[in-house]
Amino acid sequence: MYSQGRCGLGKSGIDLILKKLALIGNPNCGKSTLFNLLTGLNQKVGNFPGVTVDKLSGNCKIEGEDYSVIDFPGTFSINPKSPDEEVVFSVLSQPTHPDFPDLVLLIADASNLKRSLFIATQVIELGLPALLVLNMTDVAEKNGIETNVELLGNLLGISVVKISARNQTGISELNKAIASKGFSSSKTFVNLKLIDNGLSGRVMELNHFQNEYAAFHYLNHFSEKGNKTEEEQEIEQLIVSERYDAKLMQRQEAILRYRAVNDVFTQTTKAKPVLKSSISEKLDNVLTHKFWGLLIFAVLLFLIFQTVFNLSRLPMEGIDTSMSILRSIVSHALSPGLFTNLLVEGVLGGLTGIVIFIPQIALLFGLISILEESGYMARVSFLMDKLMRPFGLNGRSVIPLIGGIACAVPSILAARTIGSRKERLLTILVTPLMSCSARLPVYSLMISIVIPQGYFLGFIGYQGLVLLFLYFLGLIAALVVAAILNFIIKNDVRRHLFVFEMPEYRLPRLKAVGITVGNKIKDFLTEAGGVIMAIAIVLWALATFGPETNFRNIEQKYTVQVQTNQLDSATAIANIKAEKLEASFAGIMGKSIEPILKPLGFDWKIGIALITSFAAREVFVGTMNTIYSVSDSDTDQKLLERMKSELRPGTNKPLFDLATGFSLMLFYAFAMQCMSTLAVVKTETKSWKWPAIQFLYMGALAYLASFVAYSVLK
Amino acid sequence: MAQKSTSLNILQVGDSANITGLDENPLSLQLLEMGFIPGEQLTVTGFAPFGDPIRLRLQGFELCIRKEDAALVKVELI
Repeated sequence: MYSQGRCGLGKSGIDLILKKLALIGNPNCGKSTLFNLLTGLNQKVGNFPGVTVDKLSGNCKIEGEDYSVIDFPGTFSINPKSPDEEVVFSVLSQPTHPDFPDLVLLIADASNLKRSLFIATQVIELGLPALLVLNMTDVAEKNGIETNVELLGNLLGISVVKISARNQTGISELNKAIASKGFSSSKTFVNLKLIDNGLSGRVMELNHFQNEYAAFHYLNHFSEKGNKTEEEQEIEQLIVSERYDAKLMQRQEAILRYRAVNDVFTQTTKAKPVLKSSISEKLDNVLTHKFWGLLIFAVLLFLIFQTVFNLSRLPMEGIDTSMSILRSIVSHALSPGLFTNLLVEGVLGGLTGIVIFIPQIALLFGLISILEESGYMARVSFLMDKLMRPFGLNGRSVIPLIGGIACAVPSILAARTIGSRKERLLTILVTPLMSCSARLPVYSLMISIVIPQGYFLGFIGYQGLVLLFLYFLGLIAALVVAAILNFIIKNDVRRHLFVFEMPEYRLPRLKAVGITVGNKIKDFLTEAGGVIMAIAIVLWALATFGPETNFRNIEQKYTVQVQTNQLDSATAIANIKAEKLEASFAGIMGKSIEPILKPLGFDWKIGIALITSFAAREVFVGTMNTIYSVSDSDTDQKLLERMKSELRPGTNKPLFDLATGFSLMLFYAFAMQCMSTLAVVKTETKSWKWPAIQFLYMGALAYLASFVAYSVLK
Repeated sequence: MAQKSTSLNILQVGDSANITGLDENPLSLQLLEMGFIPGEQLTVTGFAPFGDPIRLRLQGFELCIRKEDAALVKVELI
């Protein structure tokens, strides 16, 4: 947990106050690149106190001093329009806030300076200690844009440092500037003429504000206040008697500020007219073309699935093999017993289930972050907006939905960029229908068992094709459900804007992609990893222990049979294991739900896996591992072969045939089997109502789809 | 050429126009902060595959805006 706030003196007496740096700037100004550069893999995701907005922070050392850096959500103005932007305003406007910065690094895009200066001058006007970081100077130079840094500093009243976070130039100058201290800013850019009517003076006096601009924001947010104190009632009366119109004042501020910014801009910046159209424009003519644009997008999606599925296979097999070698080494090295059993089957089994994910997460997040880095993701929103609208979603829903292919948890958080409450809620509710990476191990396992290898037209693998079908199914289900919920959930009181910037295309940098992937894997290992390991151990216990008398009876039965030479001891041991699992708590649970699962083609073993999967879908494979290694004497045989040779009870046909395979895959495609997602939906919607609805509708959908598939295919 | 008053959602690809004002609407503040300031010039550079949203160039950067939101922006064709 992030706790290096104003904690004062630590127990050891060492001063633990870390200087706080805040990164503030427009979206796409290179803020995150600088953040990565400063903190590297030393990042953590936390929460701002009292709100659910993610706080990306990290520690770094600058000129021998430790700093805590907070990467604030990108915004064009400190007037908040979304929960994300609200954080920026609430932190910067309250000096008592635990995240209130000691220094604000105002990140400006040198190639797009005018708009960067809008929020920069707002922060300066609030009187916060600030430093202007003129980023992307390489792009600006290429575009023939020249900025007089010294004059800019004079006009803004703060120091200005030129850097290029991408090329890592100017960083040592930036470090020196940060360490030089003595920051102050007191410039005013917009004369709001509030003093004249005395209102702001009174507000400043009562709230001990240092400047008029803070009073201005206080007044603009006054109507949101709940119970008012005596002083606030006085202000309220003044607002009424002075006819203060917050909305009008904010609009006036925007116009005046743009004029002031334009003035600074034209004095400091010279841009050569660019004659030929930029590369970005040319690319956009193709990539957002009504035919080619859509085709390229579809091909890209197809390539992503094929890459993730095919490239991850080899490293996953490697992990699988080395983990089973490790397990056999450990089980041979230690004396047999309960502890060895726990270590080999529970702990190492669980560990395999965690590590096996890394190749897929790395590949998928790698590809997604390449698309994001390159600027293509914004085009996806643009391309898809009209298409998403009939479903009650918007172009911005596409990124959470595509992100849902990796993991619903961060994607649901990413839905915050959607301004409209309803469109955001719909996106949150349907994102878990997208096939996340946790389903991939289940799909891979079932596809390997029931779908033959081989190629359609000589190069399109059947197995990859089925996987693609499952992904499309998730997408279609998400859209259809959204369209239905669109009729049920009531509309927003106020419409929200759908306006965003299309950044210039850039070559993605491997290092940035690497850092993103590294942090994602770290998050997965620490968050989901713990749950998976806990489930693996609980599962081991459920499958190992059971009602005492049943266990004793099984052992007695076989002891007698071996003694009377009816059975050799090896077979007896195998049978004891199998029957013990059946008699265990897990077996009892699986059997008790078997009647409900029979119409879907599932047996009690799958029943056990379904129960444990409600914690996280990927646990299915781990459960299958445990179940089949516990009930089978041949430890060297791989899970795949074991499952293939499993027979449907009472027949000599395989249990995992095409019908059961599809039924199972569809169940996993639709069912809400992820505690973490439910928890995130609860925090994001601030009620248990929505996760409950989500759990129920997805469960019903899963049962129905599996039932139909099994009935048709068997 | 005679100047023509209209709103942003009516413009065609390649059209350039000056912003003359914004509708009285709570959403207008966000448009102002995105750079839709009266007096600025914009150029429509394209439409999304299904005719909406609009892609446009404003103050040297590329923006995307839905037609229904663009209707708030009053412009004069150049």
